[in-house]
Amino acid sequence: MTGTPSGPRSGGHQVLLALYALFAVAAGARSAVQLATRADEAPLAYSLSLAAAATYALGWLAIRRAADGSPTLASVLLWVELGGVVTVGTLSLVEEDWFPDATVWSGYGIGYGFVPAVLPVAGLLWLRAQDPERSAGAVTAFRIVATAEAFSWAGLLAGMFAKYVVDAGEQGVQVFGPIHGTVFLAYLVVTLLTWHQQRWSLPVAFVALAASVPPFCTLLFELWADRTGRLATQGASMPKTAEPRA
Amino acid sequence: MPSALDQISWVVIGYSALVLLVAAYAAWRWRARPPWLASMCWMLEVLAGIRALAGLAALSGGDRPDSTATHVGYLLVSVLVIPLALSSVRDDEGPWSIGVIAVAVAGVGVVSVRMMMTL
Repeated sequence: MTGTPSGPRSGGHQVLLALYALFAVAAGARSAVQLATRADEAPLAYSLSLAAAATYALGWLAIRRAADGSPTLASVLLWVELGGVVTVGTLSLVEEDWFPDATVWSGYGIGYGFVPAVLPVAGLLWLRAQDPERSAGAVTAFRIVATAEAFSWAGLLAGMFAKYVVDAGEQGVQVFGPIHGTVFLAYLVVTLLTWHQQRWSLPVAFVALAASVPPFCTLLFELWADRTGRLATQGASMPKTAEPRA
Repeated sequence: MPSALDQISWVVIGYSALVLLVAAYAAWRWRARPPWLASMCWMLEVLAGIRALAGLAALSGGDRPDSTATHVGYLLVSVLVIPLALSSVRDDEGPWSIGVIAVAVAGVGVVSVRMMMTL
C-alpha cells in the first residue's frame, strides 16, 4: 500500500501514503460508478469527485517523491488539494443547487468524517517537519490550529445562538458546523504530532486532546503548555533518547 | 439481502475496532509492531473473506442490493486492503507501520458500515 523502496523505510509518510491510496481508490471507484450509471443526475458533483480521486493519486505520488527527497511536487499539490477542499466545501454549502448529489469534498468532506480536509493539512505539516530549519513549524502549527479551534467554537456558538435563541435561521450552523468539525480533526492531528515531537507525557497528551471538547479550552491548554515549557521551539525536532515506557 | 451478511458484517466491525484498540495500545506501549498484530489482521482478513463469499453467494442467489456495483466493490476492497497493507510494511516493525495497519483496519471497518447501509 505504501511502497517506498528507495525512500526512508519508516516514518509518518507511510500513514499518509496509506490514506492517500485508500482515498484514491474510494473516490475513484465512487466517481466511476456514478459517472457510468447516472452521470446526468449531478455531472458537476461526480466530475469533482473524479478530480478528487486524481488529486489523491497524484498526492500519493508526490508524498512518495517527497519521502525520497524531492518535496517540490508535494509542496504545490497539497496546497492545491487544500484549496480544492475549501472551495468545493464552501460552494456545496452556499450554492446547494449546484450539487444535487454530494462530492467527496462536499461539506469539507463530511461524508468521510472530514478526513479529506485533514489530509492536506497533515501532509503540509509532515512536509514542514522534514525541513530541519523549519522545526519550529510544528509548534507554530499547534498554536495556530488551537486558536482556530477556539474561533470555530465561537462561530458555531454564534450560529447556534442565531438558530435557537433569536430564530434567525440555521445558516450560521450550516457554515460553522463543518468548519468546526474540520478544525477539530486538524487539532487532533496536530496535537498527536506535537505530542510526538515535544515528547509530552501521556496525561499531558490526554489533556491536550480533551481540551478540544469544551469550548475555548484549546486556547487555555496552549497558554498553559507555553508557560510550562511544553511548547519548546529549540531542539524540539532533534533526536532524543527514547525512554522505555514502563 | 440475507441477515447472515449483516451478522458477519457486525462481527467484522467489532473485530476491526478491537484490532484498532490493540494497535493503539501497542504503539503507545512498545513503540514497535508486535508480531501478533499481523496475526490479528489475518484473522480479520479471514472474516472479510467469509463475508465476501457469503455476499457473492447471496448475489448469485438473486438478492440485489441498492447498487450492485458498489456492493461488489465494497466486498472486494474489504478483502484486498489488509494484505496490501501488511505487504507494504513487511520488513518494517517501526511504530509508523502500526499506523499503516490501523488505516487499513479502519478502512475495512468503515467499508463494512457502508456496505450494511447499501444492503
